[in-house]
Formats: sequence, C-alpha cells, structure tokens
Amino acid sequence: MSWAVGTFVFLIFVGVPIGLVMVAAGLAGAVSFGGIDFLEIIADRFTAGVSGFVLIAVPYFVFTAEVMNRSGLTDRMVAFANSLFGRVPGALSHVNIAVSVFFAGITGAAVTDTVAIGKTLIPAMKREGYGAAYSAAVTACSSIIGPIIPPSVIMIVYATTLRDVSVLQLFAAGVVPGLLMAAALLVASGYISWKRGYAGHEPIRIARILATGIATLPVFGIPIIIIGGILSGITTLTEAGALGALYSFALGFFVYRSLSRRDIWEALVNTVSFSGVVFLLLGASTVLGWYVTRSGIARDAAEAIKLVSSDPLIQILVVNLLLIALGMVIDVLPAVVVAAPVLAPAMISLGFDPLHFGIVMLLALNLGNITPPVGMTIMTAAKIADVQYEAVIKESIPFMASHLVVIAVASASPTLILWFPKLIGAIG
Amino acid sequence: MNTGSGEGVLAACRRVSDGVNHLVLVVCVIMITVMFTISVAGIAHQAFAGSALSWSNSLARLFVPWIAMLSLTVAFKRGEHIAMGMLVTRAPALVLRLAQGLGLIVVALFGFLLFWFGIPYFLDSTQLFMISDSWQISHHWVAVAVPLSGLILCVHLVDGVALLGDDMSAVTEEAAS
Repeated sequence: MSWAVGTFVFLIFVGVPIGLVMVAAGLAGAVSFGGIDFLEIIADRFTAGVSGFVLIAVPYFVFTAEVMNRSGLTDRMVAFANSLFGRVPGALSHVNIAVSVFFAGITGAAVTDTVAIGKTLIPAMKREGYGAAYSAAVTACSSIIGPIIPPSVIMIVYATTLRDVSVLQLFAAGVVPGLLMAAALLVASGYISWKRGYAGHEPIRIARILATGIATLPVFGIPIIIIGGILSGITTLTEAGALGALYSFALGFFVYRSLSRRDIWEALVNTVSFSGVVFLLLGASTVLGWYVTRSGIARDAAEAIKLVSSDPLIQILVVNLLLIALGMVIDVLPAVVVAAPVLAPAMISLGFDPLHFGIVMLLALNLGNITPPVGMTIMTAAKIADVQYEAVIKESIPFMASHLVVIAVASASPTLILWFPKLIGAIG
Repeated sequence: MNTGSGEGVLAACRRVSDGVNHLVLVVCVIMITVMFTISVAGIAHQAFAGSALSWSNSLARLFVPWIAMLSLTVAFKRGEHIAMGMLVTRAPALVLRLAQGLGLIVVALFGFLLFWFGIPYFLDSTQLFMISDSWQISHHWVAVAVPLSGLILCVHLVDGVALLGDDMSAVTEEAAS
C-alpha cells in the first residue's frame, strides 16, 4: 500500500495531471502485488473505465452547455428572473441565484454556469452599485448548484466509478438539496442586501412577467426535456442528453439564429477537449480502483471511521470534514474519482445508505469549488469581475456558511435526500 | 549550426504534432456526430415506429472508447488536464524545472505504456460485440484505440511542458520573458 500512497502523494504535489497520478499510483500498487508483469492491466482496465454505455451522454451534455453559452440564451433567462423580484432589496443578487437554478437544469457544471451567468450579471450588478467582489461571490457561490440539480457530469462520473447507485437515482436525489442550496443562498443574499441597502427594481408587473416568460419559454424546454425525460422514465439518460443537445442546437441555430458555424465548430472542439479531461479521470479511476479493491484500503478506512465514533451522525460529519478538506485542494471532478472508491464502500459497510452518502459526498466535495486555495468558480468569477481573488473569498463567507448548513442538514437527514427518489419510483 | 538544425527538426516535429492533433479533432467531431445521429435515429424510430431499434444503443456505445482515448490526447495537447500546480509553481526555479521534467516523464511513460501494452491487448482481443442478431463487431475495433492513443500522446511530447497545463507552462513563459 505504501508504494501506491507514496506515489500518489508525491506526484500530486509535483503538479502532475491528477489522472496520471491515479494511473501511476494504481500501477505502483499493482506492481507491488504481482511484479512488473502487472503493468499490463493498464490497457484492459483503462479501456473498461471509458467504455460504459452511460458515458455516451457525457459529450452530449457538454455540447448542450457549450451551445447555451454561445447562443445568448442566458440574457433571456436573466430578463425573466428580473421580472420576478420587483422592489425586493438586492433584486439583482437574487436574480443571479434564480438564474443559477434555471441553468443548473441545463448544464450541470459549475464553471460553465459561472462564465455564462457572470458575463451577463456581474457587469450589470456593478452598474447597479454592488461591489465587484460581492457580485463575483454571489455568482460563484450560486453556480455550484449546477452540479447538484440534474443533469450533472459529476453524478455520471460518480455512478460510473462506483456502480452502487444509478445515475437516475442520483439525479432524482439531487433535486431537493439543490433547491435547499438555492433557498439558503437567497436567505444569505436577502440579509446582506437588507444590511447594505442594495437597490430593488420596479414593482412586479404581471404583464412583464408574462412577456419575458413567453420569450424565455423555448429555453425552459431544455431542462424539461432533460430532467423531465429522465425522471419520468420517458427517456433514458443518453436519449435525454441527445434530445437536449439537438433541441438547444435547433434553438440557437434555427430559432434565435444566434449561433454561427464558427460557434458550432468551437463548441464541438471544446466538447472534445472537456470530454477528454473527464475520460482520463474515468479511465484512471478504474486503474486505481483495481488496486484499491484488492488492497483493503476501503476496509481500513471503515475501521478508522469506527474508531472516531460509533455514532453515525458523528461519523458522517467527520467524513464531511475530510471531503471538504480534500475539495479545498483538488478540483471537484478528480476529487470524486479519488475519494469515492475508498470512502463510499467504507461508509456503506458502516450501514449508510449508498444514495444518501453519495449525495452528501457530492455536496461536500462541491463546496471545494468556492473554498480557497483551489476554488475554481471563485477564480473564474474574480477574473470576470476584474477583482482580487482574496476579496471574493471574503465576500463568499456568508454563502459558504449557508452551503455548510445544507450539507449538515443533508447529512443528518437521509429521509430528506431519499424522499424525492422514492416519490418518483427511482428507488424502492 | 547544430543548434539551428536541431531547432528545425523540433519545429518540424511540432508541425507533425499539430497536424496529428487537428486530424484527431476532426475524427473525434465526426465520431461524436455519427454517435449522435445514431442516438437520434434510435429515439425517432421509437417515437414514430413505436419500437426500439435493436442496434442503435449497441452501435453508439462502440464509439465511446474511441472518443475517450482520442479526446484525452486533445486535452493534453491543449494543456487542459487538471493538476494541482499551485505548490510547485511557487517553488524555486530549479525545483520547478525538476517537477516539470518529472511531469513530462510521467506523460511519456503513460503514452508508452498505453502503446506497449495496447498492442498485445489489440492482438489478443477475441471478444465479439453483438450489435444485432446478425451483426457482430470484433473487439479489435475498440482495442486498437489504446495503442493508437499512446502513440499520439508520444508524438505530442514535442510540446514539452505545455502538456502539463496552463499553470506549469505559464510559469516557464514568465521566467523566459
């Protein structure tokens, strides 16, 4: 075990791409078992990791997000969300959170949401007198709803890595905590806006809500196709991904005509490139997983957790702290493939529900998107707002706290997480 | 003079690497489009004819390993793979150079191992994928993507530290300027 762990720790701090770190650690462990001949597992295991049927959906969802970002559909969503908040102090701050929820039902990746929403809303917020750092903070912290409300690339990766839960179950279980995250953020945003006296807008007018709602209606077809199709059982995950991609393309190219041929090519190139990032991690997780399964690391982890406490609540809170710490130094996607094969079997062996723990794990790791030092969405939003990273971190603290409350509630209440999947028949 | 010819060879190798990457990108885009068309055809058949196409899902999934293996080389070429470079990029120049060298060696080893063990993996593949009752495709189709992607990755090694991501290469560029 020491060879694999040593290789992992050393290479990760040297700055080697995390996918390769996992391959190297898995191979080091394999060689320690069976000598140099065991290096040959790389071909078979890596291919097995990138061959799952469900992975057809990965490029489809990435392409949908790319098309959304390039065809200006965000502005329509902002106009609609704007019409909903009227004179409420800090209306635009709340709009930012609401748009993140709409967007979460389409793209499922935090950084893409930050870019799409931030480019439109951060300049608008600055013009209305919000601080640049606050504008970036609310954008970054609300974008992390994206990977929790379906569809979600990290949920596909989690289900592919572990196979204890299906993508459908994870998607269904993500709805309630995703909405809770939005509610908690709105509370924080409301309090800050009231304290600082941020401006509201014109009074709510039904005519305006209807006009912007009708103009945005076709865009809402995307989450309806994807989430509605999957959760109702009308379509499979891959079919929903394909239909979502086809619909968003048709909307951008034929209906709104805001998508040029160059945009389509660039969207496809980015789809290939980002898929490559996901696939390296998936293949690598299978190589590392081969070793983890045989080494007994998961069993040792379960023993270590039992040593801390026999109370399940304490156990899951301790694991949450570990996951949040991991998320602080590793990006959420690789953190999922690194932590899931070790911690999920350990927690399941301690009696936790696989779906409940899966969602708690994703919530905790997802927090890493907004925590220093590697808070990807914070970095992205700070760049868009042209403000110091540290200033955005400071403004994000109330929003981080609201996310922590949601993680604690989700950890303590499996019923809350499992209610919606049970309601739609995703679990028995 | 030797340096000049060395630079010429390196420039030629980089052109080959760029050309290969462009070709791989086009192939990936074509494969995604074909896979997408098959998926949509399956959905349309189900919707209009009322029955599922027996071959659509089985055929579409055969493109996934190809897209996966080729796209990861594209992500390397664009320096997009995720690494934790924040510590090493703050280290003294010598440590950074050593880390970059080690990183490149790991990339090279990964490419070499995929190529080296991918060849017997390809040659020994005897499995058949059932697309439909009368249509089978050899596992060779999937397996050959492994050594090929290893080879492509080795070709891209001429790009040096750029393969390790923006953090690592940006520091080197700053130092050079």
